[in-house]
Amino acid sequence: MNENNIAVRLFFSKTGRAKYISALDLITCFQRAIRRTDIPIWHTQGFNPHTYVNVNLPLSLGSEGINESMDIKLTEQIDFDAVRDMLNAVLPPDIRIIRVALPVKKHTEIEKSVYSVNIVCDYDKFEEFMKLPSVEVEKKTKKGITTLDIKPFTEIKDYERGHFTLIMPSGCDFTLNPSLFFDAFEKFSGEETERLDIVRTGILCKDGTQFE
Amino acid sequence: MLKEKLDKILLKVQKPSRYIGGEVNAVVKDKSKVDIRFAFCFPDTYDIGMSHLGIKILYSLKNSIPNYWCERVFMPLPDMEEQMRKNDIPLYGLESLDPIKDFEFIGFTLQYELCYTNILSMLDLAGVPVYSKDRKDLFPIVMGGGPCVCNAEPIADFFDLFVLGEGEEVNLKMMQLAEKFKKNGGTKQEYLEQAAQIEGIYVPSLYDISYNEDGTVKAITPKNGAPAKVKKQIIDDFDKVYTPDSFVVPYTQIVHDRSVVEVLRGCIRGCRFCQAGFIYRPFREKSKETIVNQVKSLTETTGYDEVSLSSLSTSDYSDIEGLLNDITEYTDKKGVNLSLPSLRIDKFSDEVVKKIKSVRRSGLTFAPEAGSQRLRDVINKNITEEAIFKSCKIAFEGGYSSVKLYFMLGLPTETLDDIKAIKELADKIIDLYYNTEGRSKKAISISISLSTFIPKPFTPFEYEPQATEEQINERQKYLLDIIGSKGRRRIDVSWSHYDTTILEAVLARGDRKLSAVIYEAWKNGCKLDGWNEYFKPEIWDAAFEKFGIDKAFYANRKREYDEIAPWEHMDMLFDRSFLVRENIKAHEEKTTANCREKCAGCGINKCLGRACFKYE
Repeated sequence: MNENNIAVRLFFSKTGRAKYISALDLITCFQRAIRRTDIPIWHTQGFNPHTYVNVNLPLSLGSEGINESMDIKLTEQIDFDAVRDMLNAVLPPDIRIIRVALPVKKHTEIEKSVYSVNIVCDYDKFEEFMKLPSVEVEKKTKKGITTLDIKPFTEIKDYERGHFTLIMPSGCDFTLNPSLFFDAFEKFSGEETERLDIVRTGILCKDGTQFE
Repeated sequence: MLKEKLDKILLKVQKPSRYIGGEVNAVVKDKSKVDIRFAFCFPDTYDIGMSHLGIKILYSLKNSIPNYWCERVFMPLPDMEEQMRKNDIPLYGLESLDPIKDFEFIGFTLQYELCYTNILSMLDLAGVPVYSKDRKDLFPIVMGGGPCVCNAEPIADFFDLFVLGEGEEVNLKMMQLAEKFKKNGGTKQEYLEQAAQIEGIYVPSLYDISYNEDGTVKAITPKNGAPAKVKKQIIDDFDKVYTPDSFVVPYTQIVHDRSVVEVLRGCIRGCRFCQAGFIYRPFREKSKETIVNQVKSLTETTGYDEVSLSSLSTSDYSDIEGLLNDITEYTDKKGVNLSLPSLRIDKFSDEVVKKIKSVRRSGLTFAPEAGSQRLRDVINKNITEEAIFKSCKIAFEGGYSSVKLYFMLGLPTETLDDIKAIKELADKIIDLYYNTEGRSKKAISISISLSTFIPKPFTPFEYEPQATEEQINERQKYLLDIIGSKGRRRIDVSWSHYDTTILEAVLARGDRKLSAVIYEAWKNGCKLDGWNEYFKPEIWDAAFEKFGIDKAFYANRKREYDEIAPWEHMDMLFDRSFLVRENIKAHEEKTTANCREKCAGCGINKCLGRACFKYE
């Protein structure tokens, strides 16, 4: 890799219709968007060079995110606001670059995700569910399906009748998809949840600070 | 707007991004400023429909008119359809997420016969009656376009009107008339009668069809001023034909995930089995400059890293080498891959071959269609063994070790000797491989793909019977026997199912009596007939039986030259007598030169008012 490359972090939101774009398709989407601009982008070297982009922490299908990030490399210095504007001009309407900055943290420092949740359901049942001492779920691993109690890893804050903050692990070594929690609730209540909106609002590092 | 309802179901279906729109370059307009809304329906899945060039052209064209809004609609797969029905979500446009039953037009592109039940599914899912006679209001007008319109009789009862030929101009006229009706009022019947006066528009309800006792057509009688013949529309100045400068770029991977530039329309070859080779006449091409500019603008607006040239036979572009030079000058610089499906590499210099990356990547494919030169003469397929060998040699020297060959079984006059020649051709290619210096060290692999010949309207073979299931089975078995189990280690053979081919054959040359059968089959659960996993032949058979219709009458019967075809009122601008002449020549095993060499006298030049080519 050329030493003169500039690693740059794009912070973006992925909302509305874009929440149905899978993590893999999101990469293709960014690669194509960059190709529609004149941004001096670094390409991977080798037999089949391609536009380099790296998602720091994939967002699960169906969740929105307002503080997502992706890394690219520039081959020459250009104004970061110009990068933001050029990309916003060619990205789909529901993906917006919020800011472009030099990376502060490494993605290996990521430990948890913070979600803002809005659930429409039988609230009495949900509150009962939240008080359970343990929440056993089946989790697919390389070794097969295992049972896991996710309760110790699930933190709920600022609960107010269906609206709350949910913090769950999402690091390199250990990740829990928030849907595990809500699937377990559906199983517990025995009925389909009327409505569920999950928005990832932030990503926390091991030292407790925001990933930036 | 159905967004909220959709949010409830989309995580329960496979690949939800294809059901929600919002892609780059999708056109979203302010509803209050729109007069005519058009639902452009592709009666197959998103992945297939989004790969189709025609929909991209007409989508952009319609949306280029400020007060018209065209949206895309595709056939949902069963998991999505089930969720939609369970949650009362009618079929919607991907741009607005509004139900299409409230649009002025619901338009289908008719690319192949096996999508007919999908049309009924989509209309029903939209909440619109499937029979034209049951839709009493002026709007929505259900229309169809595309190649199958050359014989749309089997689905005539479901449509209000069809557009015959190239839709670029006539579509707009049809929408302008609707705009007038929307402003001034009028009934559906009045609209259809006036629309029938626009050249290229076919209103099936304005034609009475009577039948002879033997089931053949007796007469086709126009009424209420409809023209006796519906004239196919063509764009004469093809270099100036409307071409979109951007494509909707999907999120999810689709079948052809790249930009596509059409380089020419029509075909000079005149292969006698090929419907496209006749119905897309005359041959017209774009200039090099236009094509290169379109490659550039599409690359820039889509961000695709691959561009493909499209036509029936790109090798026949008059200055193909110059064109490829000009394009690669740009694509190499941009790091864009140029892909050329079905290009004949024997015509090019090594230098050009090297430039075409995809030729190296996508393997070596030939479509000799028939094994023997005799049968290739019958079908007027102008590929010779020498040309195949020459291309193979170039490719083998370049490190290739696999070859794919396409053949048809059941061609007119075919005998077991012709089948034997398929095996012999494969053997010769194997010998050539092992005698090529500098070949790869891998063992050669040859794959032979056998499809069943389906006679299509507006070809010289429209009079021919399709081979029966017994005949096809016999020929397949014979080929497998002579290749032997040992031979099949090197030669892989695959073939199509007769069930689907006979259905396609029936629908291709069918008449209006089949509408009832299609309806019955759909009502009992048939849809996605082109997909093996969803095709239900026994339901189709029950539907044919219910109406006392014999498939063999449509598929396996020889027609006399003077029989009135169900599509007799369609004028494809060339002379029907030309098809008869070509049919006679086929049985005499005589070939016809390609159009650039010598005019075959099909009569299409009359519509141009000039010769198709400048002959020396």
